[in-house]
Amino acid sequence: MSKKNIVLKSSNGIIFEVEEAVALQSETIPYMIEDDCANDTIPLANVTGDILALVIEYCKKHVVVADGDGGGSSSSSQEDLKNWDAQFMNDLDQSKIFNLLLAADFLNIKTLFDLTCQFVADTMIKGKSVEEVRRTLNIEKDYTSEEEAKARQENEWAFK
Amino acid sequence: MPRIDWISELPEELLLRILSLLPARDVVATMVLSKRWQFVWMHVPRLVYDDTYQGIEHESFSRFVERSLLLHEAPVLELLHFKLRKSSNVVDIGLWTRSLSRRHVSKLVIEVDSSSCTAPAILPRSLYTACGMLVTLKLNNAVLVDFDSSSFSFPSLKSLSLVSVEYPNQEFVDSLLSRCHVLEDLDVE
Repeated sequence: MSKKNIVLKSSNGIIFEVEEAVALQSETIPYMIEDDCANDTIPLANVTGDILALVIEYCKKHVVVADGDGGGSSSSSQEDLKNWDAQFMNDLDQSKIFNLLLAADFLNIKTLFDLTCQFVADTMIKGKSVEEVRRTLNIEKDYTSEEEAKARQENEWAFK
Repeated sequence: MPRIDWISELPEELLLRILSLLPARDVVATMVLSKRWQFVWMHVPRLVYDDTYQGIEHESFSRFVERSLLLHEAPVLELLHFKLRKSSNVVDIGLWTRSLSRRHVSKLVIEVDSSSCTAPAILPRSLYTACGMLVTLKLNNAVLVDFDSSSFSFPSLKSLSLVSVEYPNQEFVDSLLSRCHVLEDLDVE
């Protein structure tokens, strides 16, 4: 029953011990294991503890299903997983979401990366007006109103 | 909690991944968000044009596609996807795809909604010349016109899907397929 564990260390020094299968959903970690075989702790200099905890929560949830019944997960468990993903993302504030996106990119966890990008696209940009997107994402308008009016006029084809 | 603009701080590559998941209307509109965003949209590697999105008029839609493709700068387009409900928009495809001939389009999808088009959509001849580097081509509910097959080929085409597509005759299909030297998937319905 003894499974191999991997020890991950966040940028602020928090230690996480996880099963190998959980950690290996990251395509970056195997390279780090190879490069760092003398030491069993893998330092993740770009990921803080609170974000790493979220990454691990996601990977734990997803490893169980992948193990499930030898790859042929039933449609109901797929559905459950989708609902879980939606809830997982919904519970996060923007600081967590964007740091999770950066972590998923750095750790190369494709499904988490895709999930985060899709969430940002669908909930923060899609179908919204320019003003709504600015408000949602706290983007400061660094144009003067005249400059913006001019840009819109020059590109009126894009806003009709 | 300070209100931080996280998204504008992302590396361009990640911004482009996010924008790749949006309809082209939303992608292009980001140009006026702030100075940081002015040119980002021009590099988005996937463009999806849907003529029912936000219910815009035919004239405006057609102009929107034409202008945005003209200004768009990514040398490689992973995906160019047209979802068309109005047959009038199909007439413009030739014009739209002309601006692509200098660029590398990997995947082209043209879907025409049959329920709202009375006559099947006829795709223009220029489509073939614009698509030399395609890896995937998917056409739905359209008519392929005859063409002089000696003048071009699809050297990279691996996946071809023709659903409810009309073509002139069997020789046309044979000739088309003989020009797809690396085809792996063929789906004809």
